[in-house]
Amino acid sequence: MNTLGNLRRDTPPMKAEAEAAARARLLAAMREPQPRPRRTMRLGLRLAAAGTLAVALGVGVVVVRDQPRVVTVSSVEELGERAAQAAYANTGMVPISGKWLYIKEVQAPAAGEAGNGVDLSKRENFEQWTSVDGRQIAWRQPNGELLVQGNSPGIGTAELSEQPVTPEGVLAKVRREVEKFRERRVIGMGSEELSLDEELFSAVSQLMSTQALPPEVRAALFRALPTIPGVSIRRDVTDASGRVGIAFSHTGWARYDLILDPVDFQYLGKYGEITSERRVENGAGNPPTVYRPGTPVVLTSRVETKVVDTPGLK
Amino acid sequence: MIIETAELDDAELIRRSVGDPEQFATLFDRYARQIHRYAARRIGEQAADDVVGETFLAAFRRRGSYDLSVPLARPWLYGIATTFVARHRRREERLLRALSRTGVDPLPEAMDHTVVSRVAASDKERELAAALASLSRGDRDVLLLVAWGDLSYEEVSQALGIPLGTVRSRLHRARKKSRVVLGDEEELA
Repeated sequence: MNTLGNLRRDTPPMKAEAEAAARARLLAAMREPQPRPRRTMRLGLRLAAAGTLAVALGVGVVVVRDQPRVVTVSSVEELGERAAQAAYANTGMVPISGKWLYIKEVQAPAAGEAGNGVDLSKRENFEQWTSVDGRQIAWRQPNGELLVQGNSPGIGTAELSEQPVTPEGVLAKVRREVEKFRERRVIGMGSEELSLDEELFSAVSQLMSTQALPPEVRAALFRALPTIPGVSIRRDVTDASGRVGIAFSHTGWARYDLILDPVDFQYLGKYGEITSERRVENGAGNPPTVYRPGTPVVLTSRVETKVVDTPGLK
Repeated sequence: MIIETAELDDAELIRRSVGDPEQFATLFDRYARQIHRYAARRIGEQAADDVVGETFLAAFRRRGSYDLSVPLARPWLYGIATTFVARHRRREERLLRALSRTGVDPLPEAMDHTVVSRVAASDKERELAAALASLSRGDRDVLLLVAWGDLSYEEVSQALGIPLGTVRSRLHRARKKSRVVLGDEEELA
């Protein structure tokens, strides 16, 4: 071997994280809409409207420079796209098989005696752990004992990351899990009236809020959300910590908001309220539970997440 | 539908990626690591991370102008990577001069929590490093694409978009200059 051939022969291979980051950047670029020709056209129209070329160009530049950090999102599709793009920028948490995600939330507690739903005037902390495979969830019982249960929709990083990762593909996988769950469900508990779309939205929200998903999968789920019938955009939604965000929203029996940070589109929390009156039978001898429109049923905010080795650790 | 991409040549993948961008990811999977190795050997791991990212983004954006009659995209990608490596030219030369001066190669960089065992460079290596540092950018690119990128002369010509004759003359000059310090018996590439 010659000197040149030997020089720095032992250069270490590319690190897996660096490779994943570079690949994610490439995938983000692939997913970028091709806005340039359209923008030029729109600018062209603006130019025509503004009168002279030079003045209008000046105006265009000023508008771009003055753009606030909080960008205006005009449609739920655009929200999906922007959130997806932002997902690639966040490579902070890498899901590792066998690990658990510790999640600390602030929640409005159950209303108790005051009625069904939650009490918006109160807050409590809630801690849970979810397995990276998506199949298990754990939390502490009042006596301090850790309860580990099966999780819904029971799907995790491994299945969702199978190539190729597309919005249609990940949504189909979640839909299959939801359909399986619906088939097994006990009839007579009220929830069988929920539509498949409603449950699909709820399942995707659940994944977004309780799983450490890789950027590619998060991006695909964000792009998939607007394709679920009934999903819309909702602005200025406040989470349990008072943070105001922008939300994917679905209205069925109840309206649920998946609240995201309006700047970086990170998950903030959830809000849900009953939109139409429902009676849920509680079995012979017990009065039915009546849910009245406007009753809040969930309000949360996620305040901390961490990857840990086993449930119970933080 | 899952499209089987394993047997497709690079040109076909690039052709398909014009309408179906995600096909391009297969090129990344095929070449990212070897391009990283080539870049890391010249400018260090961390700078190479950036070079790989930039190379594939640039390649993706320029894919419409790829010559589809060339089945292998490897020279094209090495060419793009080489232009990004050139942005780190001063760093590359500084590292080579440090090796030449101290006899200790600053590469690979010591990353967090890792210990890099460093063997003192031989006199020949120190002289070679000095020679590489003194080459013009164009000459060094040709020499290292051949020696470290394993590109043929024809491929270097494609990669850098220069005539084959220029590849030969640059290589001749680079070898001659290096041979002066290494002695005539040393085969460089």
